[in-house]
Amino acid sequence: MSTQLLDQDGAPLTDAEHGVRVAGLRMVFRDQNRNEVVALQDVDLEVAAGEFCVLLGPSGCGKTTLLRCIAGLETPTDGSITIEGTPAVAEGRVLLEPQRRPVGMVFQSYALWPHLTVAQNVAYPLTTGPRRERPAKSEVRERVAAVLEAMRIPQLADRRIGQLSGGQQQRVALARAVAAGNRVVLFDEPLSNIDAKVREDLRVELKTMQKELGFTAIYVTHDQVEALDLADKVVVLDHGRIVQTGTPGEVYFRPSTRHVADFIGTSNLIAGVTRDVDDDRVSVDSALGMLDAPGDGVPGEPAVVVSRAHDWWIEPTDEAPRPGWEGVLTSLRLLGAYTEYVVSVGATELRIWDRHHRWAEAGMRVRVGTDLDAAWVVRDDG
Amino acid sequence: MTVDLERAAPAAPPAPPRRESRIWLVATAVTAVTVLLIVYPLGRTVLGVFGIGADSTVGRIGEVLTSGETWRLALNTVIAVSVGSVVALMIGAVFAWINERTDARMGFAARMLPLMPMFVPSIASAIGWVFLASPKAGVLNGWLRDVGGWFGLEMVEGPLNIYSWPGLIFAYVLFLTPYAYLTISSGLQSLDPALEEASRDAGAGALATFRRITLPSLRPALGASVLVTVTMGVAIFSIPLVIGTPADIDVLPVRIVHMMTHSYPGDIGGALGLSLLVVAAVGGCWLVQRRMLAANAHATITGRSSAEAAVTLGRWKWVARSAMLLFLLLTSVLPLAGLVLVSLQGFWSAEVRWGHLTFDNYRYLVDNELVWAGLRNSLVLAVVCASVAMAVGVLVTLVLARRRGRVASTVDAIVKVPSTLTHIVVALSFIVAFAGPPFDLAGTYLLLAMAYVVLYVPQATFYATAAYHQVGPQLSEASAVSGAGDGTTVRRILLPLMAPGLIAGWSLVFVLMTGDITASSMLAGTHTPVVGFVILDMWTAAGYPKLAALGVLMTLVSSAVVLLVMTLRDKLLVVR
Repeated sequence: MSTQLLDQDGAPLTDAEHGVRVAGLRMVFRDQNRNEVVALQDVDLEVAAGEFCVLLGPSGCGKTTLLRCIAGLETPTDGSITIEGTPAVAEGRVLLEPQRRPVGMVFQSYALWPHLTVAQNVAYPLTTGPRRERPAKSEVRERVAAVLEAMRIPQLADRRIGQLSGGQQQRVALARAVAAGNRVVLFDEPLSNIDAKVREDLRVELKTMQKELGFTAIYVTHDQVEALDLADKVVVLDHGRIVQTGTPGEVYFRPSTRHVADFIGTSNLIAGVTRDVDDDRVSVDSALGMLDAPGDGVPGEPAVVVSRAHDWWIEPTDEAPRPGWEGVLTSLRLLGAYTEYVVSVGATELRIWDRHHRWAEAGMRVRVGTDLDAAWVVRDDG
Repeated sequence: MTVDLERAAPAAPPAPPRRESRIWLVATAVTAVTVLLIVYPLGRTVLGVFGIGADSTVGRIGEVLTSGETWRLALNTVIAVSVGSVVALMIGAVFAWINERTDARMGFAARMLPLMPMFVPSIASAIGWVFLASPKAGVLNGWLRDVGGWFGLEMVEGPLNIYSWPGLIFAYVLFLTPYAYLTISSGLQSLDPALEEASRDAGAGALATFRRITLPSLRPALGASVLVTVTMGVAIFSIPLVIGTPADIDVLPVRIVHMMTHSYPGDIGGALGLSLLVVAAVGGCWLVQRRMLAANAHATITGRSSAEAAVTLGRWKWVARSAMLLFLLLTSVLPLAGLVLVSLQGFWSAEVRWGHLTFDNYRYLVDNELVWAGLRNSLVLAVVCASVAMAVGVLVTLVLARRRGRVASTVDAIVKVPSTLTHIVVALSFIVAFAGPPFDLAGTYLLLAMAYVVLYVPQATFYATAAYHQVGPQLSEASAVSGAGDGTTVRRILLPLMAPGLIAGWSLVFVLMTGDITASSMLAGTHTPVVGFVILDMWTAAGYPKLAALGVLMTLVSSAVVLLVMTLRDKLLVVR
């Protein structure tokens, strides 16, 4: 499969002419009670060719609506969408209907057609164009065979959809999405209905396929682990707006707002007021005293120190004291790889993920602490 | 995201005219023609009622509405329909509860009950019961008298008398119960059994739970089945004609058809006047149903029914099962047996002369030109019209699925009109609108075909819509994203996946059309005979055994088509 994209004259294309570009997208519904519901607002997004972009957010944040706008299944109220250099929507006007957009899509339910075989499902996109543009029957057969080979499922060609496992269905759905040569594939939470164990394998497989075939992927999920694992670029949405765009590392370690921090990973959010900003270190006056950590802040404004649960330690009070706080262990839950301790320090409740300690018992006094260099200060947006 | 949202008006300039797929042109045109075919005749009739237009009937309507005779008819109708509906509702509710919620559930009964009217046409069933239970010559009565004789009870007639109020209501109940059962059992299917389990866990018995939890939460379904049974009840013509008329119990539909067919030209004004009462009855019921829905806005509970939730009936299990089997026996096996017995004899009497069974009556059917032509015409018309009606149903469904807003909901309401206004009223309006100038379609197959299609478009649309909703929206969307235009998606994805539901719908519409009496009695003639017309003709003219033979034949055709189509559908489903 080609990894280098070339234009008609054989010259390499720049990323700007490729992938997907969304600008100023807005979508407003009216619900049954005639109230306006803003599904998307001021959405600007650029996905480069070959990039794996994950749209992440809680349910109702607008991520699926955004994906369906790109596919053409929803019509935005305003804004523009350009796919592979071709305008699909301009200023809210639809220029390309879904069937004419160069995208493939893998649906949440996979949406494979039960009355057709695997090969017929995959052949379908090759046989839907205007009659004179359709490839010959023999060519269709060859291309279907090639795609099934690439997905490592040639043996399934004559099976019915009802006879496939979840993982096999995903491969068939992906085969169908790329069969017509689409360079952009949209994914609508395709792994949400699959067992946790299988899901991990399928994720690895999907990522491998994407790199091998070199398509541009836009992938919607509410599962942060999935997002961090798959993405080249994570786009976090909340209430119809994009709140942060970045690499998985940036989104995880440098969240832009309290909302992002709260949504991704398990953190202790320690609220306070910024006192001092020195280069990239911020001093926050909080219930746990003055905390000094990297991040952003404006002196006098409310701020939140985001400290991941796994960056904390817990020990009995009789050990040689390290710098930290004393509190009461209110509860503990053994969760396998780690144990979650809930510790009250004054009025502040801390969640701490540490290895299992035999000495720990609910109700006892403990010492807790963290490495503030690993924490991150964000402005408090609510 | 919920799908049921309407987009706000965009601030951007209006979208450029989109290249519409041909399918939408066809679908919109067909929908428009259908709406016109429903609205025009009714509109013209309503104008006539108000004395506007050439065919003013206002004087005659007033005359009819003020006559004491009319109110006697109305009272008879109200008694027959209300008592019949209430009993049908109770039986339907109990059977639905048994099949959906208890360990007495019988897959066979659950499947067959709602299908009974499809196997045995109502006219055949009514005639069958006449043969069984008429006071003197009823076959069942003959046997019962024999049994009585062994115990020294000598009877000249009876003990059963179908030509009576109890007999008429019994026939109404047999006819209406499957419809009540169908609406209530689907209501139970969408009601979370957890609610009832909670009640039983709280110590309430099975009966108390049924009375205090199940019944109240079923109010919307009960309201719907009241509406269905009353609509069917006030419109049914065959049962009161066959059983009521000899018993001197006249009801509105019989008199309406009588007014239209027993004089020339038909007494349209009188028929319209009586029809107003029928419409008023249905309208009143509709208001009651709206009330029940409004008072119970919270009752739209959805959930999955689980097999483990079954109530244990103990000894009552066998009582429940026997009751259901008895009902199936009464609606199908017994009347059919009555028909078969009489059809195999030279004349109808209470004594079955087993040595003299003959096929002469069937030979007569084949030899008689009118009968044979009627059978042939009915089959051809039903095949053509059922197909047209299903095609219309699919196209209307597609249009309604795509367009929302006021126009769509109006179209949706109009398409349901023929079944809510009752067939008798719609057939009447067809005569008013099309029989005379400028169309002059009286006594043509075209008029019959148009009426058949319009009358059964509601059922066809209902089945098409149900089939459409069984196909998840993502399957169509996947087709669009795969580059298929709307026409291709309909042809290659939607239609094949809707096929099982469409086939079921087609067979129902086909059976209803072949068994149609109401429209046939008013719109067909000796030059355009159909089974419904022929059977009424024979009811007054030919001998009973010949009538019985025709009833058997109708039942056989209906059952054969239904069974064939159901097997075909099951095959289609297995392939998945």
